[in-house]
Amino acid sequence: MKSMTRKLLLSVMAVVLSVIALGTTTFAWFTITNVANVQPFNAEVISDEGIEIAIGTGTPMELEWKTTLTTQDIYDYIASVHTAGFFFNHLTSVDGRNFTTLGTSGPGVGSTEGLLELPLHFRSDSTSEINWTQVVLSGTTESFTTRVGFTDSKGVAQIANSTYNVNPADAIRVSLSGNVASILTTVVYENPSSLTNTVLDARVAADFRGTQEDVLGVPTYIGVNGAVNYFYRSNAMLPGGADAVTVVDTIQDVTLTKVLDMTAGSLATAEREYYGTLTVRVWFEGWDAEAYNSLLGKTVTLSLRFEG
Amino acid sequence: MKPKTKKGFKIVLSFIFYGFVMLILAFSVATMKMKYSNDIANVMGLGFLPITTDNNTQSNLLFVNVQTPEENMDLVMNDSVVFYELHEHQFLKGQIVAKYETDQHIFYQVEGYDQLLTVSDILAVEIAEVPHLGSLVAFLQSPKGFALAVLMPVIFLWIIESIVLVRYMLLYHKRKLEKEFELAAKEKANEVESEFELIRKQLLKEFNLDK
Repeated sequence: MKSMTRKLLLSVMAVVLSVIALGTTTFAWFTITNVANVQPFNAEVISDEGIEIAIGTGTPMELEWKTTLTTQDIYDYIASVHTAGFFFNHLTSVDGRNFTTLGTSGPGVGSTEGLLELPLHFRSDSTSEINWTQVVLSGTTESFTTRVGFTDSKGVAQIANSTYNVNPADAIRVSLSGNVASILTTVVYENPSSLTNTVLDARVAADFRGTQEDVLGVPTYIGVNGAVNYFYRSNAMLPGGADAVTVVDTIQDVTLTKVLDMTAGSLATAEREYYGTLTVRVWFEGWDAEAYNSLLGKTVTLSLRFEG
Repeated sequence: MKPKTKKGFKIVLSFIFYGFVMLILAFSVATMKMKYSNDIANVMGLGFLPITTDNNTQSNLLFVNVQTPEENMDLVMNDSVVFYELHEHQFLKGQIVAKYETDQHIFYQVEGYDQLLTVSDILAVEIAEVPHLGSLVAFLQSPKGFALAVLMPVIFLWIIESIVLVRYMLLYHKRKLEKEFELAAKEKANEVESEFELIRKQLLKEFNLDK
């Protein structure tokens, strides 16, 4: 009987242990199924210690100063400016501050349509400069069906009605304009080269007409590899101004880049010793080798980090 | 089977059972820490994660010390650190090749990665790497894999243990009843015996009177 009681006690213990294990594993399983994906845009804009940040237009006294600029604050600002919703459009810029559309005949006209412009304000009592320390610009690689055969930016011939992988972030540019040593300075970023991306970098009066091909006995320019060639193959013409393309110089990585020197003695205007504005502009570079029309409806995510 | 061998076999089985339950519990508790995709499964700071090698050919299992930003301030050159890459949505590891300190911040340059990392970007420091086991752990940490390889065996174990418990309870109850019956029978026999004793005494008394 004594050994029976011992066996029974051990068995009770084993059941209790298995019930605990069952509860724990079930809870853990629910945790796994609810893992939240960390998205770059979910990361809030958090200012460095001692720095306050605001978004919008108006005088420093009118702005809503925060230590953390949430995703919702940015959405709210975009919604207030672009009341009909915001969509990227083909734009190009020679300096990262002024923009033109890509016309079909001759150079395009100046435009801010399809340009995302975020005026950021910084103020602080402890630091006078703002450094850009990190950028994450990403999009989901998707495929589109080619209407015509063309040569892509990597020099690979793509046939008509084939599947071609593209990433909307490949053609996006991000520029930051702020006063550095009292001079308005603009830094432009584009993603580095990848499987789907070719870096365009700076172009000054560059010929984007590409090589010539015999079309009905007439030598005709067919556009440089990538989106320009695809445009030509689709429309039998090149975008206006393809013979003299000038686009702004870009960087492909960000490591402690000073983007703003704030103005000292701003106590009266901004209630802090130092105050400055920084304009973030995001656009779809029309001359980029990956600027395919099919990308215009896609979503890109952007995260920026600033430190004092 | 000899009794000694049988006893040894039972001890080994018990060790396997309790070891398995403890392993499952530890794995589950570690998994519960994974609330976001950049969380590392860990128990009291000792964590593990699957990580893909640089050339994307195999997935290894990495054992790490999960770090706080404060602990990351003291990292040194050649420390192998783990961070979450937001472009690719995956964990990456790399060796620290440079450390930059400003008045308020510390930045690390990691081999093979073009952006600086802050103390809050670094999630863990590598302890050891086991080749080829990464895919298995990644499968175990997926909802389907966890259900198949962890949850199902535990349910099975719970059913088996419950059946064993019920059987033991029935057996215990049966033995208890048998013992009670045995006691009752013994008591009855004693009662009969004492009655016989009384009768015997009475008869002897009457017999002596008749004389």
